[in-house]
Amino acid sequence: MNLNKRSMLVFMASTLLALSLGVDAKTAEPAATAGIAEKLILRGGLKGLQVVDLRALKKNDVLVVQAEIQNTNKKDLRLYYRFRWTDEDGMQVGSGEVWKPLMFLGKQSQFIKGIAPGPKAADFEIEMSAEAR
Amino acid sequence: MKHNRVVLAVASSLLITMLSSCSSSLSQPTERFSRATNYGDSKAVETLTNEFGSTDLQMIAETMVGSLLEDPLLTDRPVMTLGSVKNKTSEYIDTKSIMNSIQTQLVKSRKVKFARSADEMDQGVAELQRQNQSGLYKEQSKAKVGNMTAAQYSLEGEITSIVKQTDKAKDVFYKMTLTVYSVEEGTVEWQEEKEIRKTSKK
Repeated sequence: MNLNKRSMLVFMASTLLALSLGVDAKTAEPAATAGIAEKLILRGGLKGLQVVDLRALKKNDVLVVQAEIQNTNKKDLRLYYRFRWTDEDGMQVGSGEVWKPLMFLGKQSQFIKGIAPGPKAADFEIEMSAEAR
Repeated sequence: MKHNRVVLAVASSLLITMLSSCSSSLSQPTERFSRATNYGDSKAVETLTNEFGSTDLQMIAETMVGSLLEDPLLTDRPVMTLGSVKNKTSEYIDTKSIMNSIQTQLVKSRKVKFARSADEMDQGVAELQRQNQSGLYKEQSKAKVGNMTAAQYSLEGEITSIVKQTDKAKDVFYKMTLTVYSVEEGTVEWQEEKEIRKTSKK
């Protein structure tokens, strides 16, 4: 094998490796709609996790939020999330939630639910971070 | 020869560009133990061992408080008291600390009032006696004896665990059950469970 052919093989192998690792280029957007995206605080990409549905209502004067999250990836992923609650003036309500880990199998869909720490909470955001299992 | 070098350079730069675009330098919100001493994030996920930890305590308290807050039981801001929490696991767990976190969050929500629990009553009685029997205080400023508000509901619970292990792995399943009893009627008015599974390699 001459040097020219070897170089071409190296080039092709490098490209294939890069393409197989370059997952960001084909992963789904973290939010299914622009309205959902406004409620998310993302730490980097979600690696294929996508919030496909988001709804909020008041129960017993307290804001209750439910989000449906879909793993669009075949690989298992671990999501870390927490809700942030603010009052009508945009001030934080409560002392901050703990980060919660949640496992997603490939292509699995799960609900997450957040309940405001009291009637003062008027708005919310969901902080999210994801990693491979 | 020159052509080969160009091809190799292009391949290398392409590889580096694609690898850097797909990797994230952001860390996850988990506690790291790479330094001898560090101030960590008290809200981060702690996975030092699979024994009961701060993340478990915080998740249990949040789940219980959230479930109570959305329940119509709290509509008229009832008076509750903390009862006992049985620890049926094989570990030492400060169950009073779990209940304190739950009480703190409920009090801050302004949806519940708490009466002194049996454990806290001695100090309250002592203060009442001091005000009324020492002769030190103005009559109108004294707290009157016999005006305490009794609790309508009692908050009680238990925590259990199932542990399975092999030479290579350990699986721990925790279940915390919290119940609100009507003191007068003795009936269960609300109940919630929080389950946590933790696995680790040995």
